[in-house]
Amino acid sequence: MMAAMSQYLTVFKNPAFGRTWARVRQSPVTVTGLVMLVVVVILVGLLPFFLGTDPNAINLRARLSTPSWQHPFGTDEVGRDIFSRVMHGGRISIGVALFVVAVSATIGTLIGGLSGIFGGKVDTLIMRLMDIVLAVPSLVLTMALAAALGPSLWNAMVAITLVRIPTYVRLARGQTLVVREAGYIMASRVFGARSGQLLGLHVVPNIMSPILVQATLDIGAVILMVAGLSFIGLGAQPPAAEWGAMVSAGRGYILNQWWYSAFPGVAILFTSIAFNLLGDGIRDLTDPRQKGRS
Amino acid sequence: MNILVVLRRRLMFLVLVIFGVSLITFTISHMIPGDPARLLAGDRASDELVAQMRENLGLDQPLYVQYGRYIAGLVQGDLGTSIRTGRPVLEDIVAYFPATLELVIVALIFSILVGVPLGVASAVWRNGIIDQLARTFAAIGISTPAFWLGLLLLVAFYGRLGWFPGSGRLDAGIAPPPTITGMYVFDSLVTGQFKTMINAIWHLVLPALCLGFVHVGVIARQIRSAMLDQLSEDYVRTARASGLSKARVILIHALPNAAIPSVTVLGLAFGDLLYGAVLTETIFAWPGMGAYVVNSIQALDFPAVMGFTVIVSMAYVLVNLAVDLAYIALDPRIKEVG
Repeated sequence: MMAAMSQYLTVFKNPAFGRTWARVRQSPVTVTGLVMLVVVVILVGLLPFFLGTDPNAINLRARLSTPSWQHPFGTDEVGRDIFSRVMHGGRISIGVALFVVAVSATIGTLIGGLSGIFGGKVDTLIMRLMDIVLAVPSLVLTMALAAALGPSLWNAMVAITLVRIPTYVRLARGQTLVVREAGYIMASRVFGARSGQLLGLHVVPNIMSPILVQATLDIGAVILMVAGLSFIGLGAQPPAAEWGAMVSAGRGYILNQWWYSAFPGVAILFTSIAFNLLGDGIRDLTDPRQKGRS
Repeated sequence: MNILVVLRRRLMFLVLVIFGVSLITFTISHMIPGDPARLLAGDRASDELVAQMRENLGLDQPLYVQYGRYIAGLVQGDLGTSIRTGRPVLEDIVAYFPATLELVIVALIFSILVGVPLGVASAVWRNGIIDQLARTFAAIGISTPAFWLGLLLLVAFYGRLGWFPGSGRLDAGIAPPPTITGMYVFDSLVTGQFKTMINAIWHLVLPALCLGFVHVGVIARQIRSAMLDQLSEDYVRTARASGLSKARVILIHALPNAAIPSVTVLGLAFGDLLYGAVLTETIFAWPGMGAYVVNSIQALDFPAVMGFTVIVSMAYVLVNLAVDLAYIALDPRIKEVG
């Protein structure tokens, strides 16, 4: 156990890690984002295990109670503890955002990478298609798609994923065009590497950095999007403890029981800020031209 | 490349976009589970009536024929009939559009009035306390769920303080001004109904604040970045060296140059504001296109939802085209755009 631990800790002694960490520490924006994210992970990822409470447990005697020691965020109209629901709901909201960003970034990178490698008519066709989708306001298109697929969290996820793919296609294709001319790609081609091999072994590892930055920035945006769709009834359905759906459920009580909608909203805001600051920070670190610009 | 070549190229792209969007919305509306003919005819309609309806609507034709008819209708401004209101979708959208446009314009003005000074201050005192505060404010703005902010504003300024009205465009006892543009503030100003105008402005405050807040951050970030570029230019140093005050150099010389690349952000903001309006209008019971589309979604009224998508997409592309052309016209150095 100790041996495994010390082997793990050698990562932190690595000089490259030390240099990166020294740069991260100099960026207050990145550190703030990182600290906020750690808080979110502890509250949403770990706390529900220790609390062991059921976010859907109904207690009609304690309905619409004001925030107190027993219920830090108050309770809803059937006496469910809002604190517990916000913590559990975080897994849905953040989990969905991570899934959507991971899938759209992966599909987008593969299409963009292949488009860049192939070039010619295939490339032109793919890029014109992407231009059309990108010319439409993405949020409106997401809403229309989610409405057509039917109101459910899964359909909202599919809609957001589809609409976000073109951004990654364009980004990956642009980056691929740059690395395509590199000597090692030429060499691989000469040695008979197929397009798939080129993409997986040489192109993707070399274009990952800007895609990861974009993905980090996207997580905050997708959390907001999922919450927005749930708010207008196109995402998570009751009694799911998704943050946007919770804000929506509390709407009718907002003038007298403000805590019902307020706390899930604070959770959305806090998590979204964490990812946005982190994304901004990573962009500053990876792109020297952007330093202090964001 | 002159402006006409750019215009021609972009208009051709616009045709392509309209074609693409129509294909997307057509496909989407055929993905819907359920039978539009039955939806239109109602639950209690007989099978014969539904079949008749299907034939009348052309839903018994092959898909490519249906698409042909759809695009032919679209070219003539026919977006179909709303299932919920029973009126042509275009007629509905025209009726609801001015309320949304008024809200979006006021929100945009608010975000420019706050965002531009914030961005300028941020760039001038780069990395200072004001810059850090402005950047934090921008990050909060971008991360705030508009629908949640709307609810908080309602609680504070309508529920607790009672300073502003919480819903609608005018108080119940006040009649709308005669329709010129459909935008109440403008119409009442032109017709001299100042009491109505003040009431309309009063009703606009909370929704516009809610909608504009998110964009303050976007605009502040853009202006900051553009100002930083300008402040490092030689002409700024020359102007300072020739004895002009710092304020004069910043406001008269650097800011107009920084504003030019920033106009493109306004075009992009338009699309976001329209979507933001969907959420904001729902909260403030604002009778615009956003509230219309949310009601349509809830009533499974797909012709209305798809009509909204087509119109908004076209408006978005046109606004961005206008912004890009303005950009080219304003900045003579740009020759290679398009």
